Amino acid sequence: MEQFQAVRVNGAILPSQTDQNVILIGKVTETGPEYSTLQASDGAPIRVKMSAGNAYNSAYVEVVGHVYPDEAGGLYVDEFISRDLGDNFNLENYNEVVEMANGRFAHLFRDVPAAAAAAGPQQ
Amino acid sequence: MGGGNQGGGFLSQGGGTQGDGMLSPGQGRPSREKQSIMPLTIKQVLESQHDNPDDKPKVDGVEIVHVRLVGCIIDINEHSTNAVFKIEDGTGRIDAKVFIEQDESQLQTERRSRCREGVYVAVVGQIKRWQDKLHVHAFDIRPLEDTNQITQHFLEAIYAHLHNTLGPLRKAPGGAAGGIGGAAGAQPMAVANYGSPGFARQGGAAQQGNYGAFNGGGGEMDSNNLAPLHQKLLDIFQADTNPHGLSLDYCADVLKPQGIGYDDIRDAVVYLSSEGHIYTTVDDFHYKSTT
Repeated sequence: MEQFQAVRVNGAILPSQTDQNVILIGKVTETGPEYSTLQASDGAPIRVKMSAGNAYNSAYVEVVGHVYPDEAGGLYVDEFISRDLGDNFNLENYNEVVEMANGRFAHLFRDVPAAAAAAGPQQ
Repeated sequence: MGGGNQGGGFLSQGGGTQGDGMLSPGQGRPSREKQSIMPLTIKQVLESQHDNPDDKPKVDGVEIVHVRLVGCIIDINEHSTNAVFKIEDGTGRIDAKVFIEQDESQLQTERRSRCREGVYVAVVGQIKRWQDKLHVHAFDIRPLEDTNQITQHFLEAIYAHLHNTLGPLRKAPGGAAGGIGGAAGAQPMAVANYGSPGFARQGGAAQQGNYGAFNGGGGEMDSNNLAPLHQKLLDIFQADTNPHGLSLDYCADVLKPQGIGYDDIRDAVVYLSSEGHIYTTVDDFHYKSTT
């Protein structure tokens, strides 16, 4: 089976995933026909280029996409697909998962280079 | 946990101060462990050990009977007798195969009909290997009632991993919350009330003692009854005959497949040394058993 891994990101972790696939859960703060803005679980605004014809139907959404640099020197997520997560999603709790999934417990979530795993990822 | 033990799922905690060790690696496990449901990420399932075709697969060195996964359906293949749901959670993808019973209840039919592409579901089943490919033979697949169960599931998977690698949770001295990996100590409670009965509830803030403690917090140990990680390390040191003892790096290599990080090993070695089980030899990174 193809191994599709996408790192769960917040605003702070996003830059480390430039040119990678990510999963972003956030609160929809702006939505347009082409671009929207999500407030990530650490509060940072992240721009999403929505897939053609897509629309968000809930306050919180999950976006699976690819991180690209934009012309202004920032980053945006080019969306493959999105999932509506309803109107009652606790971003603060989820942010703890994001931090742990990129910190001490990264090896449960994605392939970690052997050297990094041996050294024990620091938080 | 403050007496509010609401356990009763995959990882029942006895009493709050000391888990009963039902999932800890080692001998004499009670039979009810065989019924436990392990919350895992899909990556953990895909990396489960299948040493012997007759044995149960192992994750973190623990036999896995039932797994619980939470993921999003990305593809569905329906057949006359079964349906195959392809699930992803960001850590990997796996097929969950559900056999459709002839006398399926209306509720089951209705629930399955809500399992469409793009829907987050909880899957309970067994890991199976067929033609070198792993899939989950699912007994139950149902849409999440609350998307916060995504958060809860990953926290539970982390908790189960800690439980299986470092041993049962012990209460931190003085009720200080050590916290799983830092700031999360007070968080699991907030997500504890979502979802259906049947998986562990983590109450309270003061229960995180040892998992935080392995990262440098307090954590009083029972000297007669070593935590599984301490016992594992002591076994390694006691089996060694090298006059210079063993290095921390060596221990890290041995225990790495079990998902135990260098920091936890270093802390455990410091503990064993302070308790007189091992002593330093040529430098601060080499230790030898005292017995």
